[in-house]
Amino acid sequence: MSDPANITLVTMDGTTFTVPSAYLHRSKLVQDWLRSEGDKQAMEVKHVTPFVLQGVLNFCEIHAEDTSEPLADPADPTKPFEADPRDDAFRGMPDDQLLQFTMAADILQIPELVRLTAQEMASRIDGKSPDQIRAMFNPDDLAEEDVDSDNEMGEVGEEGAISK
Amino acid sequence: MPQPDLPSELLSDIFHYLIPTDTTIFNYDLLSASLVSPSWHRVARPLFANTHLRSLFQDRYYTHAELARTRVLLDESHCLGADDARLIERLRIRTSDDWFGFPPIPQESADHIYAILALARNLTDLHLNLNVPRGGHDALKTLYASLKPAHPTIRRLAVFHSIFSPAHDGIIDLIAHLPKLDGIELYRLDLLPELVSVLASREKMKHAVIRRPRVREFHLCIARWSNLRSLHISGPMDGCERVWEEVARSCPLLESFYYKRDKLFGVEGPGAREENAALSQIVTQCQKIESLYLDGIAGIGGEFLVATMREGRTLKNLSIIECENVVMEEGGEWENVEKPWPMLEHLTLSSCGIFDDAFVERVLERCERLHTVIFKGYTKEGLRWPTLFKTHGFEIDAKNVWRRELGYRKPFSQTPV
Repeated sequence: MSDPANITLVTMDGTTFTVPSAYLHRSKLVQDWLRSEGDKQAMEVKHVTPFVLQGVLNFCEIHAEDTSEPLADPADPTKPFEADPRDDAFRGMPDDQLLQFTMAADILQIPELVRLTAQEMASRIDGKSPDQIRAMFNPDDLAEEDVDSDNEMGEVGEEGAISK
Repeated sequence: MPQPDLPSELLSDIFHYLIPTDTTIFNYDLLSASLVSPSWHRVARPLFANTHLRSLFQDRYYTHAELARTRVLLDESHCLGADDARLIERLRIRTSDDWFGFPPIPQESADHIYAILALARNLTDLHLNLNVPRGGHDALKTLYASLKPAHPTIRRLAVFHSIFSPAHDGIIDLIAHLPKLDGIELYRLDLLPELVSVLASREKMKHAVIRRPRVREFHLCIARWSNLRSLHISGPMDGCERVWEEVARSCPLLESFYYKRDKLFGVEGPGAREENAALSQIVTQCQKIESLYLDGIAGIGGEFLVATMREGRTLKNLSIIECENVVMEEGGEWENVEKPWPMLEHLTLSSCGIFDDAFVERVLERCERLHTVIFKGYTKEGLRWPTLFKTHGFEIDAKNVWRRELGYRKPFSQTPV
C-alpha cells in the first residue's frame, strides 16, 4: 500500500477515485478490505457506476467528521431517523438514482447511508399503488417474469408467510 | 430500464420504515409494496399484520380514499395470485364512516364494497353499525345491494343501532338471504313480527345475542331454534317469561345462558313469579348448560338457586349478581342437596340476598372442582365466610377473586369429625 492515509476505489468501468481513508471509516466493506488486503493498490467496487460512487463519496466526506456512534443496524427502531439538512441532495434525487445509491450504500456497507436512502425510498412508497411503485423503481424480477401466471406471487400463509 | 433487484435485507430495511408506530393501523403501504414484485412480496408480506385483513375495517373510522385503496389493493392481489382477500373473515361497516352516504359517493362506495366482498370468499362475520346514515335510507339501500356477494358465506350477523328502532326492510331482507346464518347479534332493535318471522326461518341458529330489545314475540323464534347453543339477552324492555318457557321446551342443546335486566325495566309482581318459574324450567330441561349468568333479576329467589344446585349437573360457570331475593339461610331447602353442582369451576354470587356461613361451607366443601369464586357485597357482622374460604384452600387476589388450586383437597386433619 503506497499511502495509508488515502484509498483508491475502482468502479465497474475502471474509473478511479482516491480519497482520504478517514472518509470511509463508516464503510464496513472498506474497513474489512483495509485490514485484509490493504497492501494492494486499489479496491474494486463492482456494480457501482462512477456517478453513484462520486455521490457516495460526497456523503462520506460530508459526514467524515461526525462523532455519532456508528449505526449497527440501519432499521434500528431504537434510533429514530432524523433528517439532516446536509443530505438534502440525496433526498431530492430521481427515483432510479435513489435506487442505485441505495444499492451502492448496501454494497459498501455504510449503515448511515443505507438508512438515509431506505427512509427516502419508504417515504416515496407512501400512499402509492403497486403500479406507481413499479413505475418509480421498476424492479428487475417483475420485468423478467409474467406476473399474471397462476400463483406468481405465491400463496399467503396463515401468518403472512409465503409458500411458493 | 429495469433496475437490478434489491437484496432481501435491504428491502427489509426499507419496509421497516413503512411500519407505523401504531400497529393497530391497517398498513396500506406495506400491502402495496408486497404487490410490486415477487421478491418484494417475499419480504414485505410477512411484515404485514394479517389481523387487519382478517377483521377488515374493525379498528377505527375509515375514509372514502381508504375504502377505494383497499379495493384497488385487493383487486391487484387477486390478479397477481396472492389473493389476500381470502384472509378476510370479518367485516365491519359503519354508516357513520366518512365514505358512507356522501353524494355522489354512495354508489361508488357501494361498488368498492361489492368488489371487496366478491373477492372475500371466506367472509363469515358481518358487523353493521347502523348509526344515523349520512345519505339517509337511499344510501342504506345501496349498501344492502352491495352486500350481495357475501350472502352465501355469512354465518354471523351483528346489527347495531345507535337509537332504539324497528328493523327496516333492508335488515329483514338481508337476513332472509343468508342461508348459512347461525349466529345473530342485535342491539337496540324492536323485535317486530316481520323481523321475528325472518329470524325464525333461520333454523340453523346456534348463537343469539339480543341487547336492549323489546322482545315481543321473540319466543316464536326460539320455538324454531332447536340447535341453539347460547342465548344472551340483556336489557330487555319488556317481559321475557314466554321466551324462557320456550327455551326450556325447545332448546335441549343450550350450553350458555346469559340474562341481564336493567333496574329501569325490572319485572315485579306476578310477572316476576312467572319468570322465576320459567327460568327454573330452563335449569331443569336444558341438561347441557355449562354457563349460566343472571344479573339484576329480582324475580328469582333461593328456590331457583336450589334448582341449579340440584339440576345443574353440567354447570361449570355460574354467576348470580344483584338478585336481591336469592336468600340461602340455615334450614333452607339447599340443605337437602347432598352433591351440589358437581362440575362447577367458577362461581360468582355478588350483591344478592343472604348467604349463611353454613351454605358457603357446604359449597366450598362439596364442589370439588370449584377453583374461582367471586363473593362480594356481604358485610353483615358476625359472618365468618372469609375464614371459611381460607380454611378451604382459597386465597384472595388483588381483584377480590378467591382462588385455589385445581383439584384442591382439604388436608385430612382439618376435616371436621
